[in-house]
Amino acid sequence: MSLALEYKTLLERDANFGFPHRVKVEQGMLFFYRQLKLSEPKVICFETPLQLQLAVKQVLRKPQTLKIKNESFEALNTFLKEETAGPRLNRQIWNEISDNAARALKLAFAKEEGLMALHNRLKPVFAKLEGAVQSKLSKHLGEIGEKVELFAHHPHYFDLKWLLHYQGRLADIPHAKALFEVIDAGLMYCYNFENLVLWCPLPRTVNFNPENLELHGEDEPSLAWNEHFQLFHWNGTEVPRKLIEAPNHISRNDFISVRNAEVRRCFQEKLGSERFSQLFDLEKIDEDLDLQGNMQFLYRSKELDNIAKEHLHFAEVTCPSTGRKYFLSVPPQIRNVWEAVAWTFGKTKEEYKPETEL
Amino acid sequence: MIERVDDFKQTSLNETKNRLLVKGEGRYHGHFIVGEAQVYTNEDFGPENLTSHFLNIKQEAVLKHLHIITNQATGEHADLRLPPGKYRVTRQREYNPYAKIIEIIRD
Repeated sequence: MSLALEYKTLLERDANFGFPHRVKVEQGMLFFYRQLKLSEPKVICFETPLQLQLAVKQVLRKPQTLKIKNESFEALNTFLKEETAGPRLNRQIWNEISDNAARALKLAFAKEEGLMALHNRLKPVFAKLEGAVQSKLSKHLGEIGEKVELFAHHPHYFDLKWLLHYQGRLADIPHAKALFEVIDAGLMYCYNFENLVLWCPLPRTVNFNPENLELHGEDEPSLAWNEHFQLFHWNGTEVPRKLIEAPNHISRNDFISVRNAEVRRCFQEKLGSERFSQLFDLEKIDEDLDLQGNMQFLYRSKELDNIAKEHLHFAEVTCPSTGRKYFLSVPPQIRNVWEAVAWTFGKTKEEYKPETEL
Repeated sequence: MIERVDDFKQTSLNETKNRLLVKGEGRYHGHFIVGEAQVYTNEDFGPENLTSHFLNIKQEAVLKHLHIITNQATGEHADLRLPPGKYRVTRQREYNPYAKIIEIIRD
């Protein structure tokens, strides 16, 4: 099995196979509450990490403007009308799992080699997934003036990084067995209160590029929970959904309105040079070697752009560190490629003598 | 772009402990300066003043491209060694023909 497929299998919970297994997650969570001598909490599953964030904020009585209507929120509203969630319990659950699962496994199987090796191998992959999710949550919540709430540290899909090392021997440690079953059944994040557990599942779609193990979907999401919460990546860079799902409908303005250079480069890669040139109807008006010996070009659109009411000008340059090519839009009065590149650094072509470019 | 400069007016700048010079958007990547270096941010940084930082490097420092969460090298850039000296970090800009404005290019 390729590494990309291994990681996909590890992190994806395909809905076609009945994931998430809600009953198993609930049973596992009840196990931990029983260990803490607490009565059974209400357990509610939310479809996506964003819905889980909003649910947590609702329980914590934080103001929010984004309202979602579905069965999970109805269940939460009904619960909150009749009962109270009680104090937060994330720390107690963390202690319970830390002492009786993680530490117990280490004691039972002490001096085993490979635990850190597995952890270190999985760490970058988990970090990519976590970075993408947190970035998306920050963006969505930032739009409504909110910040991301920290989910419980245990149970958390990061627990797989060490639980997998003990797979096959977990039955000896009931806490570890319960923890593994909860995550294997589909739990990604949760938030625990004394009388209430809120959780959301791992994504139903996960895609990595087999060549570089970056999040990547050629023509589908890289990460998806449902129709509304999907992320699209091109070699690790988050890109607009339209670029992946409807590249033939990308317009000039779609490209120009993107300010991130890496996202721009993804547009160029995905569309290809020919389509990109066609999109802007470009003609070359100047070219020269840069100081590293790479060709650099200045292009101009053949016709006046209908919206901008001027010719569009692009300098095509090569990053000296990565070798990647970028199209940079420059003012229409520029006629020389050196002048164009110098302008992007706020210099005249006489002043522009780069030593090191990032 | 990093350029060596003869000097810079340290009084007009703010020294920072933050070693992250440029943060990539949406990818949790960034360019970090590692080594004995004083880092100053330029408060006037913007489309008309593209200098984001000045560096005063006491001993050879290294510019690394790292993942912000794992601190592991991304492999996108080789490490860049910077000999002792003073440097200016310049960001790149672009013209938006539709909005008729100049914008800083994001990494």
